[in-house]
Amino acid sequence: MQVVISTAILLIATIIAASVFTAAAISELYTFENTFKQLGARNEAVFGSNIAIIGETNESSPNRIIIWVKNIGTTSFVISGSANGSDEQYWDVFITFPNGTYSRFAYCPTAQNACFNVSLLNAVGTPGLWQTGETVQLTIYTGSIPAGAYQVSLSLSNGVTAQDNFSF
Amino acid sequence: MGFGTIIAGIYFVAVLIVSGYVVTDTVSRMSNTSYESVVSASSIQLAQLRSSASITGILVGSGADEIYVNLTNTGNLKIVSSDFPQIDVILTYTDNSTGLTQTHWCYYGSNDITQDRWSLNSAIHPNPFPAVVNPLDWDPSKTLSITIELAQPSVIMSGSTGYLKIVLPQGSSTAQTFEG
Repeated sequence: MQVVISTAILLIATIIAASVFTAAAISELYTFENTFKQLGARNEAVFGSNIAIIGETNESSPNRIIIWVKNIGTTSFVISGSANGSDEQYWDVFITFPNGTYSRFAYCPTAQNACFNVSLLNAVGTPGLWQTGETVQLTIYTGSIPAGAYQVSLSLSNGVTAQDNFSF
Repeated sequence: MGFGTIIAGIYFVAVLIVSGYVVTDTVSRMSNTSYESVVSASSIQLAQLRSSASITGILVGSGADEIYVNLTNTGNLKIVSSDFPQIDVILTYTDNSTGLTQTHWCYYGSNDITQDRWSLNSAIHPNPFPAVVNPLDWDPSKTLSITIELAQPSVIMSGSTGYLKIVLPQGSSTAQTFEG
């Protein structure tokens, strides 16, 4: 009788221990799977992202540099006018001026010095979504635009970057 | 005692099998996602390499406020008519009234006379030509005839040199200077 009770207690203890181990292992494995899924989704977005700066000009009153950027990848970007908020606040615009100074411009929805704003020029798809083949205009407000050689670099929220050299 | 050990062993083996399945499935999904991403990125690059156009003619209209351009598809990729709005036309010219150089991105099919804009040349039929196949689409070796209209009342300064850049939907571009 004592042997049967001992065996039963040990069996129950073994099952409980195995269950606890299983629960812990499965939980960790799902965390591992979710992490890899997120990594895969991010890789897909980054691999599919590609942009190109296709032109630049400058205008006065107020002084501003205008650049046109084309989405030549498969990833779409949310910009102002979308129901899903906007992405431009996470973009970085850097300009190297002819005298060698290097400035970062932040996104501002209104025209302000040392800021940039964005407008979608040829939206044929969803409003507020910068999709494949579409072009945006970046208007960069700056105090002065001296003649000489410039370099512009645009970095989007997922790290995709385009760079171009130009001169006025 | 032996019975309990066997059940515990079966339990651990089951856990190992489930764990192995989850790990294998995760790695497999990630490999698939990475593979599709690389294929997608490659197809973008391939499309860029296969698309190409050449400006085969530029003529400034008699009023100097219009430019007629012939573009030949010199690539191996068909550009369908629904993609025409994604063709970028960037025009640089000297404005006759101010003497200043202007660079403008031109809107496709716009009726807004305050903007520089471009459209298919309505005087050319068919357009793109020749319309042997796909009469609405710009197939390789076919020519697209477009008209660029300047924002009113801008006029190109006579004798000045302008610059026209055309960017295809895939990102490849062509450019040429012209005389005003």
